[in-house]
Amino acid sequence: MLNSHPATVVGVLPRTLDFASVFDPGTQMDLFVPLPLTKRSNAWGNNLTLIGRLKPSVNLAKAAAEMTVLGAGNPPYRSQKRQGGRIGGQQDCGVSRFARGHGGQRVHAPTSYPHAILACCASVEPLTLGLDEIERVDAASRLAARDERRCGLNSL
Amino acid sequence: MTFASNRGHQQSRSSSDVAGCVPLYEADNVVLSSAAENLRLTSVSVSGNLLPLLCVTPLLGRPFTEEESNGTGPRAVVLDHLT
Repeated sequence: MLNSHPATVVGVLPRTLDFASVFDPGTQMDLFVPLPLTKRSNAWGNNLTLIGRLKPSVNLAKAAAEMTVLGAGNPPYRSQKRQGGRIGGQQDCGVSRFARGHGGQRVHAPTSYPHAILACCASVEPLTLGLDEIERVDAASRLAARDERRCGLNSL
Repeated sequence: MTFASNRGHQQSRSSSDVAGCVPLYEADNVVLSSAAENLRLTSVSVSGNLLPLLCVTPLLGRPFTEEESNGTGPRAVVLDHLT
């Protein structure tokens, strides 16, 4: 039983995946459960962290700069910042320590508007999955984020 | 390699094609209970394509199915190797 609901253990991860030390140092991750990509989960905002794989020929510095610009431009991030609330992680980017052993560099960033950010981020491989969910993101917000990204990148 | 997508249908891709997925995660506290004991653990909610993106295959068992990933299937759990 998981939180009083029936659940089935379907797998055990290998020792080589040290998820907590890479993506949330100082914590322990005991088990993994599915997170459906829905409009509702997209609205969870600051608690979500996205992970992407860098495009070939894109270095981490470029991706980090782009993610920073995108993060600074998305509406929920700014609104919570104005309210003085704790942001669920800064818009930082990093390459996981186990990246070399698992096939390439990846970039991860806590974000308050993950779907829109990935949709606009040019340094991460084009989305091939979850596009239907991205289409549900408010169009005006996406356009605003894109415009701010362009302005920010031009100033880099 | 076949894995579950979040678009409601099964897709077959090689592991090199999974770049660009949208893996997301969120941590939470849960209680895992059995007839013998209750354990307070930290769970991580992850999108179904996280493990393919990381090129990780479970040591035992399998990753989440499509139905489990999109929330229409039975509730499934994958344990960390230390749990």
